[in-house]
Amino acid sequence: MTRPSARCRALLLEVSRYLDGDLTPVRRRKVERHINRCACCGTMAARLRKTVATCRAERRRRLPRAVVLRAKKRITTLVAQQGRQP
Amino acid sequence: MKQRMVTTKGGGRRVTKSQPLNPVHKGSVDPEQDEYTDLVRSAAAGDAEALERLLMRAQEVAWRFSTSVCGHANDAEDAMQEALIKTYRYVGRIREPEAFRPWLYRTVRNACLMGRRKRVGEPARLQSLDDVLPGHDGSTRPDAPDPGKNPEQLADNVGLRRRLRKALRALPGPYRAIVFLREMEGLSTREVAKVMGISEENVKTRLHRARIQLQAQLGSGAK
Repeated sequence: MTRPSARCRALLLEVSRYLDGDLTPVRRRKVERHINRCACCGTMAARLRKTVATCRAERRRRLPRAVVLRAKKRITTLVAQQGRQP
Repeated sequence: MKQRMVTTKGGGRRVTKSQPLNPVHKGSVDPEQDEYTDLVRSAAAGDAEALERLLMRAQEVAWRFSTSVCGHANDAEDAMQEALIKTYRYVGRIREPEAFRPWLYRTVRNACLMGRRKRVGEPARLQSLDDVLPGHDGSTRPDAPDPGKNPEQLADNVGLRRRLRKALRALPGPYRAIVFLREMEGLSTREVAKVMGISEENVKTRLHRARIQLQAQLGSGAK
């Protein structure tokens, strides 16, 4: 395995910022140029994209039915105890 | 949104907004935030259905946070109970409906941290960035799996979800919480900063470092 260059290590966090559109136009162009030329950072950018997509696909996981039923029961009990109609 | 100068066909120059390659959470209008605000207002005004939905939302957030960040199902029920009671009280003395969402996540986070037992073997810090970079030729570690083209395909990929959860567990707690809040719950950087009690810049830095470690775990970790 060839060790990544010092420049690649320095750019690592910026690649993630780049994917979020969180760089100034000047930095963005520099990072973009580097990604297009450097296999190491190009690979990293592609992997980060996939990783972020994987995380976002996990959004709003549904609760198991048994958990939902317990949650509803808790609401009913609480409201009854407090004397306030839900 | 950042701006840049471009040259038009006629040779003139104009300013355009740069398009992020992977836009998310950008812009000031957040439908989810608006929905929470409306629910809180309606519940405070005596709308029983809104109150019930809000109390259910609070418990859902507590369950997801607890199972994703704290990792133990037993703790989740306690966190749900805590979120339920505190939300019920909050609605009775609401002043800023817009502040509800960060307040809810902060409350849930505190409830999870309070009730949480010390985990054995939980990492205290992230791996070195050097350990998660591919080689200079870009092709030394196994690639992260392709998650597919749309959320439905992704949801079907049980193996990938399992690997993601394992990769999340390998992150130190605060980093895991930030990934959860930002990527999975869709909170803005500002909201995450409020929930975590750190600066927005710190949120971004931790998020980027966490993503880098996650990609390494997804690529070469859980097999």
